[in-house]
Amino acid sequence: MPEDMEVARTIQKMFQDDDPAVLELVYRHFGRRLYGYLISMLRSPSDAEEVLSETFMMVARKREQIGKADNLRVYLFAMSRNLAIEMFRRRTAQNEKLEGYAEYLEVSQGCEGKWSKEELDGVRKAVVELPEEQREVLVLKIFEEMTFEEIAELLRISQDTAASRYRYALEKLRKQLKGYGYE
Amino acid sequence: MNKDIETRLKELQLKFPDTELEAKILSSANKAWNECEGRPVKIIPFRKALAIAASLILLAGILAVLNIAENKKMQQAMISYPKSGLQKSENISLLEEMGLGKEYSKLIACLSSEHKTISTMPLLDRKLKL
Repeated sequence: MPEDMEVARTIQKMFQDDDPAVLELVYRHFGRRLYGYLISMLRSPSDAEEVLSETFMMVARKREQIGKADNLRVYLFAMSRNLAIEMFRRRTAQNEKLEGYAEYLEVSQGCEGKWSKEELDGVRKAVVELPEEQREVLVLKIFEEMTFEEIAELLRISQDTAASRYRYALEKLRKQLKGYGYE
Repeated sequence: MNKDIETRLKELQLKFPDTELEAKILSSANKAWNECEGRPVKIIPFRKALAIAASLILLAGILAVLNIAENKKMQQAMISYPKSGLQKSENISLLEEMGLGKEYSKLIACLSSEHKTISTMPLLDRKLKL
């Protein structure tokens, strides 16, 4: 995304200048997207909120390193992901019940008329039921529009692995959603 | 009608957080920002300065110990050979009288007797001829 590059440059300049107003800009540009990614990963809005808050506190503390990061978006997503993994560990230990994640996917503005509630629910369910590693790649590729190179860097896997996980995810969705006319 | 799953998924988006969440998150992030305000600038040079000072103190200590050891050696040598110093200064003045430069005189006077053969010192030889 060229717009991302432009904003990332502005943000990094502000980090280098130690300007606290940068936090708001980071939230406006990346916060919402990080939240969506965290919900898809953690499948719990309350956990996603907690991890997002921890991410931003870490952004404030590690501002010096962030100012020097090569790819700001990947850096922020990696930071969030690490915190989400910690949350996973804590949560497994607590054996917490997951609730309220089913509606994390919604129809974009302008496309509302093209989707029936039934189909949307079917897609939500199919995406949620994907294996975690495939779902993560799918979310990053489709909704975050990351390249396989960026996904590979973020998840510390090869580009081929990222691409094959994405392919498998699409295949599974096609099978699951055959009834809605997907090829 | 066949639909492409990839294209269809792109018509969806991930849920945005509630607007109240922004204020909550930014408030805690700002607090974290202020808590470590100036820390990268102040603490790191202090640590560096501390490390440099410690290294300098250590170096000075080593030099002092070496110096003390050297002085002790000298004193022991002076005590063991009280006459050799006197003999050396006599030799120096004798060689100077012979027309040798001051630096050569000192050098020869300090050499042990087994090294004092003219053939091993062509420079001295030349100087004597002059």
